Amino acid sequence: MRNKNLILGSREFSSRLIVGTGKYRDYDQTRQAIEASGAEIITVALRRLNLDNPNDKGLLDYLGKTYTLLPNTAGCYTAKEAVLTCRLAREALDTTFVKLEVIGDQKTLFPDNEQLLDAARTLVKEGFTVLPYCIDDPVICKKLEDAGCAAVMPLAAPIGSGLGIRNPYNLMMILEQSRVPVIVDAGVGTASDASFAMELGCHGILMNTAIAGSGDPVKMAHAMKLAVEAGRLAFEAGRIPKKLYATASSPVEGLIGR
Amino acid sequence: MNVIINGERHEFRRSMTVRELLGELKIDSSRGMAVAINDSVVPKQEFDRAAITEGDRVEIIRATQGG
Repeated sequence: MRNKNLILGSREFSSRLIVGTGKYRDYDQTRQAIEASGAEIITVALRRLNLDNPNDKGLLDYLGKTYTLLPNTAGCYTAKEAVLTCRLAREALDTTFVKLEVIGDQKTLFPDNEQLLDAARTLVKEGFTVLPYCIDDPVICKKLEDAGCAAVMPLAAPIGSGLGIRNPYNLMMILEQSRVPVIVDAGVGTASDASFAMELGCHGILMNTAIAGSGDPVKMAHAMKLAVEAGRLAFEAGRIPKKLYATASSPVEGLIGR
Repeated sequence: MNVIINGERHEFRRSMTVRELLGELKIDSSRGMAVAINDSVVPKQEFDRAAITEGDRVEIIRATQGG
């Protein structure tokens, strides 16, 4: 798949960077960083309304322009919780897009494959555009694709770890087999990680902590925008093969004094 | 009537519709929010009809920051 744009379900996006809205200092910084990232899709969480102050301004009131909202199911540990969260999200935000997360372990935040697949099947049947956060395992990615997910979103390293692309070979296998976009979700630490994933052929990257947790989130958001674009361009151009020995760049004929 | 709203017990003098409950809690239902009663989502167009009764568990949610 070498489309110019990122295609998710029936929608097309020119930016291949999806950003989260968590962990920023304040709403103002959130807005500036998102703008600098050039992202068109942003993730949001769903939480209980504060009944003591139900109408105070929230994230969506502070965002200057209109983004495609991607509600997540962060914090859900069962398919049942995740499905209810997605149904609430559809009602609250008038969208069928969902970032499906079903966590299996609190320490690693790795997904629970069984619950994830179960939730994905239910949600696809109900007409959701399901984007599942999953382990970087070709087998579960294939099952999620067969279940009708609009993309697969393997982690590159644990959420918020910044460890980078820990297993590029698994990503390569997933990319080779996938008929839906492959979006790296979680693990990116800095711009070169994002470029590397895109150079492998990933169709997009979803990140939050790498931007929000950096020293200057607005600057890092810009760096990530450029890194994702650069990586994608390099992938489309096709890199040179790696060789052990040198190949001269200047002509070997007409050398002076020979 | 006793109901659990967002995990906390609330007491009201009578049963009511979702619309009436939101009014009682002074919640602006035109903003991005959603309601579930006993794990079933109540569509907005049902707010005037859907009744909340004794012992119900009500969830009222909105979008917030997240990754």
